[in-house]
Amino acid sequence: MKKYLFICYAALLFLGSYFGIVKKSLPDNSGLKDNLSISNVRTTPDGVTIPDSNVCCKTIKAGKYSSESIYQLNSQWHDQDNRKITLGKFENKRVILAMIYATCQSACPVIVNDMKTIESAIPADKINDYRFILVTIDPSRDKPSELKKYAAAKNLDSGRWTLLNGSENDVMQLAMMLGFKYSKNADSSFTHSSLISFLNKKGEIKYQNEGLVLDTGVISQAIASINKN
Amino acid sequence: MGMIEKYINRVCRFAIGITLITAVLNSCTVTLAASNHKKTHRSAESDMVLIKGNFNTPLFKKPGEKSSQYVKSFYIDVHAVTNEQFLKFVKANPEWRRSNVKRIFADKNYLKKWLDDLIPGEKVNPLSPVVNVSWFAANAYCKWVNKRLLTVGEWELASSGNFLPGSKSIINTNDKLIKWYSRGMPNQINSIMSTGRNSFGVYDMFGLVREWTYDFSDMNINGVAICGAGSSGATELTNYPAFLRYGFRSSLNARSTLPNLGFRCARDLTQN
Repeated sequence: MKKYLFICYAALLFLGSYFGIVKKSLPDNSGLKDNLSISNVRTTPDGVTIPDSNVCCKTIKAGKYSSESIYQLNSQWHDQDNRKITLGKFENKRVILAMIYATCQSACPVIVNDMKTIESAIPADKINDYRFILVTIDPSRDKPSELKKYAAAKNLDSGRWTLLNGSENDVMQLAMMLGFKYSKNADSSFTHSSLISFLNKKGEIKYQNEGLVLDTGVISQAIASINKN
Repeated sequence: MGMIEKYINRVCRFAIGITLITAVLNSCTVTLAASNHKKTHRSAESDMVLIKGNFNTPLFKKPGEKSSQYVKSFYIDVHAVTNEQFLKFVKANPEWRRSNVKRIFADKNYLKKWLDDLIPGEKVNPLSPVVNVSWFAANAYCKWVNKRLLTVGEWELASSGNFLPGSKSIINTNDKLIKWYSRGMPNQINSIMSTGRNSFGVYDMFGLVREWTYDFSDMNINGVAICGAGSSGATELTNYPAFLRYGFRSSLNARSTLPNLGFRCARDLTQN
């Protein structure tokens, strides 16, 4: 009697430990385990399950924004104070946006100057409706701390100006949306468009100015285009 | 031996039997699962070939640049992404279905030939390259499979492989290539791997569809006028097909979708 009970016990023990071992024997990075507990995994067409941590498809979500809004790009950015933000944060503000890089000697300072001219052209009682965004095309060098220094050097009001650092692919996607062209040169400078984009409250591009040094006519036309709605 | 003991005896034997059977079955399943897992990883790899780093001569020089530009080694998909593969992507990512896609990411001809969001339909060959996809969609697909789009330099390098002797490629001379580029939009696109394989082991670089590249809007592709003065800055004036490719790329917008424009993906060597 005792013998049988012992065998029974041994069998159960074996059964239990076996499943214990099975669980442990799955490779940690296989993703199979994660599949059971974490919901944010995805399966590629080849059947490989990967954790969905690295942006991709999740960043582009059907959202509340208009179909033409650049806020559809729901990617994570860091501002000059290293705070995580998405572009949708600027919804309901009128936005003036440009892509630049901090070590740029020629065109970028002129672009920033143009944006400051626009800022000063807006009446003081309306200025809080507007935001000014600079996005770096050199995210590996222009870390948020560098952007902070840049903002200080250019004397940009941190309440209205946001300088953004994002992943290389997110920068590319934003550039593609704006029609901004850039490429890195052998000496790690960039060849790039000089483009200022004006977004309405929904984040739709309503006006773009290509080239340097804005005249007052262009400024008032651009501002009017984003004040409509 | 009493009834109870007999009963316990039977139950225990039964339990041991079941335990052993389950153990054997389980170990089989686990081994299978593990090998399947490895296999899928391998098959993802085997769909790609290594292109060894080499010098590629860009059509246009950037300021202060040598006429040859070094392209680092990379893996490339041996064929373009098919309708079948893209269907899996839109199934898993509802925001990329035709009825959901936002205009800022793709124009109104996105997946135009498909019957419905999740039904390509009988007229669409599941094994032909997916077309009518925007740069944003191609970029998102490649990310989804843990890959990325090829750069222009990488594409040009991968397409420079000679056609293998006996390859059934219809396009093996510049003349034929120019003819192909000047052809209108095709009604029906053949299956992948139907136009020949080059010495790198890559299929259909010419003759099937044109392909998106990551940096198609590169300043030096788009910024320089292709005709007239632009060509005087070019490094290889006789490479007319290359001019046609650059001209085509510069006419594109990231949300453009065209009936002869598909894509394939690449992967860095360092990425596993």
